[in-house]
Amino acid sequence: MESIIFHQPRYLGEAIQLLHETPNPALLAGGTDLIIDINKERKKVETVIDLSRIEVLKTITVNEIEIEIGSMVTFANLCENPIIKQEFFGLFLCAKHFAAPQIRNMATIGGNIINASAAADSVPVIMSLEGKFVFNSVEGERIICAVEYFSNYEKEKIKPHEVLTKIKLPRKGYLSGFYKLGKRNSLAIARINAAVSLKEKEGVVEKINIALGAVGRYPFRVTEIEKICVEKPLSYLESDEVLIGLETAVYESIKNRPTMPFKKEAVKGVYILALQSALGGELNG
Amino acid sequence: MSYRVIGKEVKRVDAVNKVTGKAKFTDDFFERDMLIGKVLRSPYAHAKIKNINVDKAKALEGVVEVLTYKDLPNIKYATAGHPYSLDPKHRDVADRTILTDKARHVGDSIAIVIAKDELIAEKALKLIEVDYEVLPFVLDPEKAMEPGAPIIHDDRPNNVISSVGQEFGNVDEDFKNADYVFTGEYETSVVQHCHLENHTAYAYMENDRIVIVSSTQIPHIARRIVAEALGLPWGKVRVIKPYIGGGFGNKQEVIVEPMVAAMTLAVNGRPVRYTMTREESFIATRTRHAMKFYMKTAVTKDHKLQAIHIKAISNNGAYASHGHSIIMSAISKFRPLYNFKSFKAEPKTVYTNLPSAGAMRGYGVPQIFFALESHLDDIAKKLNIDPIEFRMNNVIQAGHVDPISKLTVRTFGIPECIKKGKELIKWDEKQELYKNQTGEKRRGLGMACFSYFSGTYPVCLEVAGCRIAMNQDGSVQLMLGATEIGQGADTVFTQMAAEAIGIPVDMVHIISTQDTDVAPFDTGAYASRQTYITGAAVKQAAIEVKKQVLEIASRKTGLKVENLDIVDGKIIEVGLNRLICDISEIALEAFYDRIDSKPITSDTSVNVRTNAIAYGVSFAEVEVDMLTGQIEVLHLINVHDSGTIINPILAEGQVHGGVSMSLGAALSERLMFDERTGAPLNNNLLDYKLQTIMDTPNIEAHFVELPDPTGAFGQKSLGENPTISPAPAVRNAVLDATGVAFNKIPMNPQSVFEKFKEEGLL
Ligand SMILES: Cc1cc2nc3c(=O)[nH]c(=O)nc-3n(C[C@H](O)[C@H](O)[C@H](O)COP(=O)(O)OP(=O)(O)OC[C@H]3O[C@@H](n4cnc5c(N)ncnc54)[C@H](O)[C@@H]3O)c2cc1C
Repeated sequence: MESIIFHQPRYLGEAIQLLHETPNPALLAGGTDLIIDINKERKKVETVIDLSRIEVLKTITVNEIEIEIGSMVTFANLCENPIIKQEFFGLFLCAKHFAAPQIRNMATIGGNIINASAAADSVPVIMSLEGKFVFNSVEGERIICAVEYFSNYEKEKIKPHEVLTKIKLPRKGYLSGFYKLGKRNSLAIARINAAVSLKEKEGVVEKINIALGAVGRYPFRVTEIEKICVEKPLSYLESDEVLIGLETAVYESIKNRPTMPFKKEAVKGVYILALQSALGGELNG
Repeated sequence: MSYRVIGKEVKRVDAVNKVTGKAKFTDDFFERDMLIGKVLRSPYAHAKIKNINVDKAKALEGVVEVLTYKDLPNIKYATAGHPYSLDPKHRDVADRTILTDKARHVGDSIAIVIAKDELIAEKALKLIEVDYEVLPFVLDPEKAMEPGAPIIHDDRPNNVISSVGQEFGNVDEDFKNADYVFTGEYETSVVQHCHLENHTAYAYMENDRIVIVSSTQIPHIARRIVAEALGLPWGKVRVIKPYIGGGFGNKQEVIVEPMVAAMTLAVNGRPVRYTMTREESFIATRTRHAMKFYMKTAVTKDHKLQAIHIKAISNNGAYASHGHSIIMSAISKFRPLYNFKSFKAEPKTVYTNLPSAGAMRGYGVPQIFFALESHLDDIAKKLNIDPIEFRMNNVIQAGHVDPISKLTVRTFGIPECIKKGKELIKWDEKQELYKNQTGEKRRGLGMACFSYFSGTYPVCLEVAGCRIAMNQDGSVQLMLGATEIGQGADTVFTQMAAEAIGIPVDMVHIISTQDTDVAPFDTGAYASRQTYITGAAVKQAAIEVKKQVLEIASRKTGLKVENLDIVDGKIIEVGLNRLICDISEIALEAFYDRIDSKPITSDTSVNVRTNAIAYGVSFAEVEVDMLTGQIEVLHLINVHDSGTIINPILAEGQVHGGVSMSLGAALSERLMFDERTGAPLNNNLLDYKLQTIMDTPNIEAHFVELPDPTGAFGQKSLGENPTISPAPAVRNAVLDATGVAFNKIPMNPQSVFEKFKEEGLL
């Protein structure tokens, strides 16, 4: 390993300036992806800009219409925040089942998004909650909704001089849930994950957002299925039509993968468990 | 028999040291000018080294030496931690050198760099230029036996390490006359020990002797094997074993010790440390043999087992290590449980280009019981009979003598274990409740039995030494060659010495570190032998000490030795129960009497020529999610017959760990390899799904205590035992819940799903 230049700015402006001036810098958040990539020589890095001293990135702020989560907020922080638990239960569940305590203490939501793994747990949740990403650079601010970011990833993905500063989630009062199927109950990368956010009135679905992860290169929403659920009774959400719709979506997404036969079936169970967690609080403790 | 210390929940003697971080492990020791060794590992599963150039690596600043096979003696040695055998035919297969000129698996050891620090050593590894001639390779043992398969070791052109089997009775006859014949095929996967502390050792020279500090289960054996590997007189090697962070059989192998010895020799005796990474540990130490069993069983109309014919293939990987001993252990240790009239086993242990398999907790027995206990449930299902009644109808009785090994079963607790487990899990009640389920989540119950040995007799020598020296205050030092590897051995030996001498446990100072220069001879921690075998030595030495104390007391008082006893550190007159004096008075006399001074010590050794068969049963309750293929173990109960339990709380801990290991094998653990390259796919703890505490169900440990007359205190083995029966119990519970028989583990969501699909459940 060659030596690496290491910067540790205190202020966001400083970080943005450094980003602007340094060719090919790597931003360091919790390091749970980046440091491993460097050690395994999957990533060659000359300069690292560590974001861990920039306080503004670590805050969660709330106003009437939305909650803003700093990109350096860790999954442990998310677990502890009462508003997240009350209003964004899906995100709470995602954080609670994320990795294991040691990783939760280090891993940030921003790192999870930018790392852009197919199985990133927070991404489907943010998609289902209609979240937006806020990027900053010397050119100013860029806001893009999560769904758009990943559906048009090659064009929209983070630029070398940008920093992800916040994730905005609208306070729409959705019931939200999340479920992850892993090979064990802790420290498991999702084989499949699903996030559901919905609004119902007297047992009738007013709006539902369903996002799936680890069944394609990036997580995605199944808008066709979402549409047909609207104005149907809640029981419809577990109907064969919906389940077959999910099966088809997964089939289409990963047709040629050896895991397709398994995932297109298992997605139904994962979705149902995510849905139930949204409607009835968490199952299985 | 009533005991004062045995059977009590005595606190671990190393507890405070370990929880406060004071206990020293191999990596906690530092020497001046210590160098760091690193090993270049083969990227190919099978390749000849045509040329190897280390010039650039050597030229790197900070590199002290670079070694290849050319620099080391060309001596083949065996790594298995067995006692040496005077009979050359009974020795392990010597098929490896410290560094190789031909890679036989991805991860094989090609070259060693010794440098000032780890980073330099790593850099230097990349500068070594190896010109490989890549050879065809084979991962599947059945394919390895086919004509034309790649030859891994020249002296075994068919890749079969051994195919020695065993039989008794007339299997053919019994199958001919059988009312029913059942067959089944069962398979286990490659799993790994995953001890917390990776293999690590360092070595230096003192005059012309090599001193090795190593995380090993078997210091005395390590000493011999290092000497063999380097062609040195055995006395030139000294091995020191401090606290160790787990071994589970993987450190009953001599892996890093010959390497560090070779390293220090190469740098004029300077200390050199070599610590494996986790990734290396997965591929360059040992794994558990993946085994495949073909079982054929004859049963009578009234459901009596008649004959069993087992064909088995054991995937040994690239080097023999413990080799065929493991499957021989399997086909021997399962026998004293069910009453078969005839038995025939045809096992084959086969070389492939996978990392070597070796000793791992249970030594082949978890694999065979997965097959057998699954097979018995499959038979019970086909006969439409209760699997428990079926087993009870066929178990042996105390007094049973194995027709081949001639081992005698003196205590047989299986019926009681089953009764207890059945009640605890509410078998009958829940069987009723879980009938005819159709939902998305289905529950079921399963159970499985096992038998296991206490040590290796009659296959291997069972020798253990013990030395006790009394101090002036009447306390004693207890010195053993047996090793504490986390299982609690030091604590139970302390209890045994305290019990047999008659002093409180805090007057026994056990020396936890084994140094082959001073520790009594004992072959170490494996085969669940120490409590039974070394226990006999401790008792013998303690009785000798007690005798010496009482002789002095007799001399002092004029009372006969028979009329005296030691209770809680006090000399008393038996009968009257009258206090005579404190033991320290006797000890002082022993030291300082102007005429009779002779400090109290004993130094003994036992050669144990019995074996006590231990038993147990697991009961499991599971819930299967039909949609995702997830299996949740709701409850797991192990009931053990291990004779007298020396320390209930340590015994319980042993059961918890063993069960967790077995659940991992049943549900999630599998070391995977790329079929196209032979490279490991998940040799790290994120991708290799070792069970976490979040996966661990409520585990209950219970004991049926039938003191075995051959155990010094009635004890039998417990170390490896808990890891045998949980996997088949869970498998049988899944069968009960879903009607689907899983004959291959692990049962992870995807494999469960695929099997459901195959069976038409989805
Ligand atoms: C043992 C283990 C278990 C894991 N389990 C899970 C799991 O259960 N679920 C899951 O989804 N993931 C898991 N991961 C992956 C990883 O922990 C997550 O992706 C984590 O969220 C990454 O965050 P980080 O803060 O560590 O990012 P880093 O590693 O610091 O960064 C990741 C990438 O994002 C970039 N980056 C970080 N912050 C910013 C920013 N503000 N602006 C621009 N770019 C940025 C970095 O440059 C880098 O490219 C696991 C990893 C490990 C090692």
